[in-house]
Amino acid sequence: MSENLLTIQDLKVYFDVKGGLLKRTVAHVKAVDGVNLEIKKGEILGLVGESGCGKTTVGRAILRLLEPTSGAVYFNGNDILNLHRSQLKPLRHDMQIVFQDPFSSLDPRSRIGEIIAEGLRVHGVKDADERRQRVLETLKLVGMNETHMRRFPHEFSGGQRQRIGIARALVLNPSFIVLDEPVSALDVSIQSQVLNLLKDLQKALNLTMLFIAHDMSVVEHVCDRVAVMYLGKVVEISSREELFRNPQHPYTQALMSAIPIPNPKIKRERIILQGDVPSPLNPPKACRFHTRCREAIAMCSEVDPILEDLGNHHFCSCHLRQPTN
Amino acid sequence: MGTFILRRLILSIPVLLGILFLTFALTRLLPGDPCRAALQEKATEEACNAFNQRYGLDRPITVQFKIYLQDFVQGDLGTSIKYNYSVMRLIVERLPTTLELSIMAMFFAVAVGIPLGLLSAYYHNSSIDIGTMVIANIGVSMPVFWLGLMLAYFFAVVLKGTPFVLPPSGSQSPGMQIQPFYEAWGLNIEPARSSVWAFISNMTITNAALAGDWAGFKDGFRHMILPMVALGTIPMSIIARMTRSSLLEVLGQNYVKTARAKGAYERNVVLNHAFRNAMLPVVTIIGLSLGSLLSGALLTETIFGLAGVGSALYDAINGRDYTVVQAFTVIIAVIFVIINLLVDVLYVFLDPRIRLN
Amino acid sequence: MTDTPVDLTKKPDKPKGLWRETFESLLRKPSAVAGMIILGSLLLIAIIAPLLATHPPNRVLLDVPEEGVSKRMDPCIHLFGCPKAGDELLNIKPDAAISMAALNSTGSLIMAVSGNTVEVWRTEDGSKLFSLPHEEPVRHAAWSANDQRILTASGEKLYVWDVNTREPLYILDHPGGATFVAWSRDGTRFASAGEQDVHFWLDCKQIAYSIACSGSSFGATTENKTFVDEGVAQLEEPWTSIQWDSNGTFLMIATGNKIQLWTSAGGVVYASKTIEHEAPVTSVRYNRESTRILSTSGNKLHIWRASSPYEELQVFEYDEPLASASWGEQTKEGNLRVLAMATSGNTLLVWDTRTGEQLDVVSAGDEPLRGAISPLATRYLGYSESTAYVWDADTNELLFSKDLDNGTIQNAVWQNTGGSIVVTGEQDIRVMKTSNFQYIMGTDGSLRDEYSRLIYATRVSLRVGFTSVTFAIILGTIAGAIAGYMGGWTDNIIMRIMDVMLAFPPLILAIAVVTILGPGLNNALIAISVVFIPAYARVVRSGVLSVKEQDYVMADRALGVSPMRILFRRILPNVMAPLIVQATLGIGTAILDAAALSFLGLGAQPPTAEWGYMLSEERNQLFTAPHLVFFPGLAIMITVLAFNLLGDGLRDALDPRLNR
Repeated sequence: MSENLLTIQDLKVYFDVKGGLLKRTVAHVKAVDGVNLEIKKGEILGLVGESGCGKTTVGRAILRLLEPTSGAVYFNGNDILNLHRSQLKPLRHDMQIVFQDPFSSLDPRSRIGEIIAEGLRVHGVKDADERRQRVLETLKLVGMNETHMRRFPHEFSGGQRQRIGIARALVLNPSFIVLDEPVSALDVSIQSQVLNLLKDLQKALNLTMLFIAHDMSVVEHVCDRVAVMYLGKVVEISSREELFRNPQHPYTQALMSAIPIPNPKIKRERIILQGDVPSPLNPPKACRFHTRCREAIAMCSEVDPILEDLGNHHFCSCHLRQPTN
Repeated sequence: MGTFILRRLILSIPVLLGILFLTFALTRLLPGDPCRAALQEKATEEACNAFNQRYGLDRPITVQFKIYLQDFVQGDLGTSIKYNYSVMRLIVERLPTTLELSIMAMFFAVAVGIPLGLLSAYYHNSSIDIGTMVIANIGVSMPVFWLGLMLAYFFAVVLKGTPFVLPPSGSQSPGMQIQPFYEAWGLNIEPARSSVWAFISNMTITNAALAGDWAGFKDGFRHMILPMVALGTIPMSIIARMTRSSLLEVLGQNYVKTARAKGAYERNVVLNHAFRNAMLPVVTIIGLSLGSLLSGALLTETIFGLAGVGSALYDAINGRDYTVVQAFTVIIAVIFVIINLLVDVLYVFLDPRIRLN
Repeated sequence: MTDTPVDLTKKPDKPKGLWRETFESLLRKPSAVAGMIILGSLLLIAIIAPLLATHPPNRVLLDVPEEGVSKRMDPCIHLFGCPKAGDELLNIKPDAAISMAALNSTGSLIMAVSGNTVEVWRTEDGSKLFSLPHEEPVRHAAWSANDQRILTASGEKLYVWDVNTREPLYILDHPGGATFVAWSRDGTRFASAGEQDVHFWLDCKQIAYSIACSGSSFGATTENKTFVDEGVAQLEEPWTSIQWDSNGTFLMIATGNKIQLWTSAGGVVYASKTIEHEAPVTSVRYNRESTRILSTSGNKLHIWRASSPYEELQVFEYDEPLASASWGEQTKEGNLRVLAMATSGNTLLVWDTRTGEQLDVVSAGDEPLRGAISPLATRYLGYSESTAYVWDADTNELLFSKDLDNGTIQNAVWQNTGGSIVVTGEQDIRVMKTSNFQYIMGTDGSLRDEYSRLIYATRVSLRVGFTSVTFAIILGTIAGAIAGYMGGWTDNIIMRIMDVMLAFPPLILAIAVVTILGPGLNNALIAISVVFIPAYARVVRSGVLSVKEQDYVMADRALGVSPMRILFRRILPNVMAPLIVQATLGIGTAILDAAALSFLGLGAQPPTAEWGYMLSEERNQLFTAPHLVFFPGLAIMITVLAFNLLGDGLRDALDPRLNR
C-alpha cells in the first residue's frame, strides 16, 4: 500500500464536567482516550462502534472542529493540531466532512446553491459565474441538477439532502473526507444509493475517506479497512475481509453477530452483550471491555491491553488474543 | 434538592449585590450633583457640605458603596426629604395595603384565569374558546390605569342607583371606624408603629375579619373589589392563556391519547390526566406575574386612592423625592428576587424532573 | 398573445422563501390578520395624521365657544352625523307670529315673544318649557342677568316673572307703554324705554340703602315695594339704540346726533355725558368691558373712550353710510386683536382698532345687511330681511347663507357662547351652527381638540415603541451574540449584568432610570430601551447557543468560514425568528410602559400629545368627561393588542419551522 495520508497519534479528547456549588470542573469525560490510526491515500477506513464510543469525536477532532486535549494528527506530513487557527484555512481545502443528520446539517435559510457555493466563496473563488459553474458540476456529480440550486433544504428528501451535504464537501475538491455516519439517518432503500454514490465518487475522484458508522453491514459494503472503537479506544483494526472473516476481539465478535444474514436457514449464535455501556465519565480500569466481556479473565481488570499486530496487519487489543508468532 | 436550593440561594447573592450596586451607581455615578438633586432649592454650599459628609459623598466610591451596603443591611434606606420621614417607616406603614391588594388580585387572577383557560382548552376552537381568548388578549393589552379608571366610572357612575354600585376610591367608607383587632380581642397592648400587630391591623379587610366586624369587612371588601379586578386582570389574562396553551400541549401528548384510547371520559382526561401536568408552566407564570403586580400596584393604588407602597412611590415621583424613589426601587427589586427564588424552590417541589437533576 | 392552458401540475419555478411562507401562514390565522390590519391602519394614521386631524395637536382652541363649551362633555361623533355649518340645530315654531326672541346667558333657554305670550323653550332639544300669558300683546322682553327672572313689557305694564314659579313677581306701570326693556348686567336695575322716555327701575332688595328705596311714594304696585322707579330720562329725539354698560352704572342711549350716558344717583336720573356726532347716530355698542364705545354715524365709525375724558380714539371712514356697529375680540397665538365692524348696504366692513387698518370687506346679496362679529371674532354674521350669511373671519370665505322661506328675518344674533346664530323670523326661531369644524371627541381641559391629539399621538406612541425596541434589539443582540458566541467568562459577566437588570420589575427600573435622567419622552424612551435589553440578550444568546451546535454551523467551520461570517450569515439569521416574535410583543409592552411613565408624569411632557399623558391629564375629569379618559386608553389598548396579536401569530407561524 502507498503512504499514509493521515496519521493519528495518541489522540485524546476530554470534556470537562462541571458540578458542585461553584460549577468547578470535577471530572472529565474521556470521549477519546489515546487513539492511533493511519489512513492511507485512496482508502476508505471504517470506524465503527456503539453510540457514545467517541468515533464522531475522533472525526471532528481530526478536522479541528473540536479542540483535542492532546495527541497529534499528521495530514500530508503537517501536524494539524499545532497549526494556528488562521493556518487551518488552506487545510480545509483538502479535508472535508459529511454529517450524519441531513436535516440539521443544511441551513434552513439558505438556498442549495448558496450552501454549496459557500466553500468556494470562502476559498477565494470570487467570480459568481465560476462559482455557479462549479456548484453545478458538483451537483451533477452527486446526481442532482440545475433546478435544485434555487430551492431550500426543506424541499428535499433525506437522501437528496445527504447528496447536497456530500456536494458541499466535494465542491472544494478535497483529498480527504470524514463521513460521519452519512447514511444512518436514512431509510435503508436510500442508504444503498448513497453508499454506492460514495463508492463511485471515491473511485472517480481518488478520495481518501474516514467512514464512521455504527452499522457493521454498512461498513462491510464500503470500507477497505475497518477500525473498531469501544469507549474512546480502538480495540481492533484490520482489512475488511480479514475482520469479517476472522474477528478477533470479543467486542468485534459481538458486533458481528448482530449483522443480519440474508439467509433465514443459517442459524448463528448471537452474542448478547451484558449490561449497558459503562459511563465514559468513569470508564472501567484496565481493559475497558472487561465488564461486559464473556471471556474476561482476572488479568483483564488489572492490566490495560495494547493494540498488537496479530499478523497480516490485523491489530487487536486483547489479553486473550496474542500474536501467532 | 437541598443542593439545588442552596445553589439557588447563593446565586441570588450576586444578583442582590448587583441590584444594590446598580441603584447605587444610578444615584452616584451618573452626571449631576446628588446633593443638588436631593436638596434641590435648599442646596446651599454649607448644606451640600453637610449632606456630602452625612452620606460620605466626599469619600472614595468604594467606601461609599460600603457605607451604602451597611446602611441597607441595617435597614436604613434614607430619609424622605419631603416629609422628613424614614423611608423604612414609610414602607412598614404602607406595605400592608399593598400586600392585601396584591394577594387579592392574585387570588382573583388565579380563580378566574385557570377556569377560563380550562374552558377554552376543553372547548377548543369553539365560540367559547374564541371568546375567552379575545377577552384574554384584550386583558393583556390593557393599560392598568385605564382599566382602573374605566371600572371606577362604570361601577360608580353608570351603575349608580343599582345594587351593583361600588365605591371608586379609598379603602373604607368615610365614617367607617374599625377597631384594631387586638383591641377587639381585649388585648391591652399599645403596639409600636412597626410591630407585627400594627402591621396586621393596617390591612383593612384582614383587620376587620380578625376583629369580627362584619360590616367593616363588607365595606372594606367592597372598596377592594375594583382595585382587585383592575390589578388582577393582566395576570388573569396571562394565566388563562398559559393554562390553555399548556393544556392543549399536554392534551396532544401520547399518555393523554392513551387515556382517551382506554375509553376515559373526556372530562376525566382533561381534569385528571392533563390538568395536573399542564399546571407546571402556569405556576411559573403565576410566580413571574407576582413581580409585575408590584408595578401594577403602583398604578392601581394611585387611581383608587389606596394608601399603599405604590401610591407612596407615586407621591415621591411627583414630589421629586428621589431618595424615596430609589429606596423603593431597591426594595421592590429585592422583593422581586425573593419571590422568584421562592417560585423556583416551589417549582422543585412540584416538578419531579428537576429533583432528579 | 395566445391563451395557453395552465399546467397545474407544474411546480412554480421560484420556490417560496421562508418569509413568504411565514407570511402565508400568518394570513391563515384570523387573529394575526386582525393584528396586521389594525397595525397597518395605525401606521397609516400616523403617516397621514395631518390629513385626518382637524386641528394642530397643541393648538389651544380659544374659539372653542364657537362649538359650544359643552362639547367637552358631550362630543359629537362624526360617524353618526354631526351638524355642519348652516344646519339648523333647532327650529322653534310658536303658535303665533314672533315679534322677538332672546337667549338666556348660558344659551340653554330661548324666549320667544309671540302675541300675548312669552314662550320659553329649551335649546337642548327644542321642547317648550313654559309660557307666560299676558292680557295685551307683549312688545319686548328681557332676561335678568342671572336668568332667574324675565322682564316683559305689555301694554302700559311691565311684568317681572319668576322663571321657577312662572308667576309674575311684580307688575309695574310704564305710562305710555314701553317698547324696550333691558336689565343691567349687575342685575340691580333695569330700564324700560318708551318713545322718548326711559325709566330707571331699581331693585330695592339688592340696594336697600338707596335713597330711591327709602322714599315711599314711588312706583311699585305690589305690597312689598321692591322695584322703584328711580326716574325718567326724557330724550329730545327718539332713541335708536340703548345699552347698559357692564357694571350697571350707565345706560347708553343713542338719540339723534348724540350718544348720551345716563345714570342715576340719589334718586335723580341725569345724563352724565353727551357725545356729539356730525350726523345721526345709527348704532352704538359698548365693548365687553365697557371701556370703549363704538358708534356709527353717517359715513364714519367712531371709537370713543368710555370714561373721562371721553375723547375720540379712532375714526374710520367709508364711502357709504354705515350702520350696525359691533365689536369682536380675537386672541390668536396670544395676541389680542380688537376688531370693529359696521355694515354699509350689502357690505360688511371690519377694522383692526389697534392699527386702524381696514381688514376685511365682504358683501353678499343686494339687500342692505345688518351684522355682528362673533364674540371671539372668528366669524362674521350678516343678515338682510330674507337671508342670513356667515363668513369665516380668517379666510373671508362665506361659510353659508340661509334663506328664510317664510317671512322676513327680524333679528339675528350670536349665541352668547358664539357656537351658533339665533335667527328670529316671523314664524320660527332657528338656531344654526356656524362651522363645519367639529371637535369630534370634544376638547380637553386645556381646550385642545381631543380627536386631533389622539390622532397625532399615534405617531408618538409608534415612534416610542419602534425606537425603544430597535435600540434594545441592537444592544441586546450585540450583548447576547457576544455572550453566546464567546462563552466563558465574557458570557458570565454579560449575563450576570442582564440578570441584575431582570431582577427589577420593568416599569420600576424604567422609573428609576427616568428619575435619574429627568422626566421627558426621550428619557422615557431610553429607560424603556435599557429595561428591555436583557430580554433580547437572552433570546439571542440562547438562540446562538442552540444554533452554534447545529451541524450546518459545524459544516461552515469545516469549510473554513470566518467566525464573523458564521455569526452574521448563519447564526443571527436563524436567531431572527424568536427575535422578531419577541420584538413584536416587545413593541406593545414598550408602548404600554411609555404610556404608564407618561401617566406618572415621567414620560411625555406638556403639551405633547401622548396617550398616557392625555389620559393622566384628564383623569380628574373622569366623572364629568369620561370620554377624555376612555379614548386615549382605548387607543393604547388597540395598539398594544395589534402588536400582541401579530406577535402571537408570528410565534405560531415561525415555531414549527424552528423545531424542524
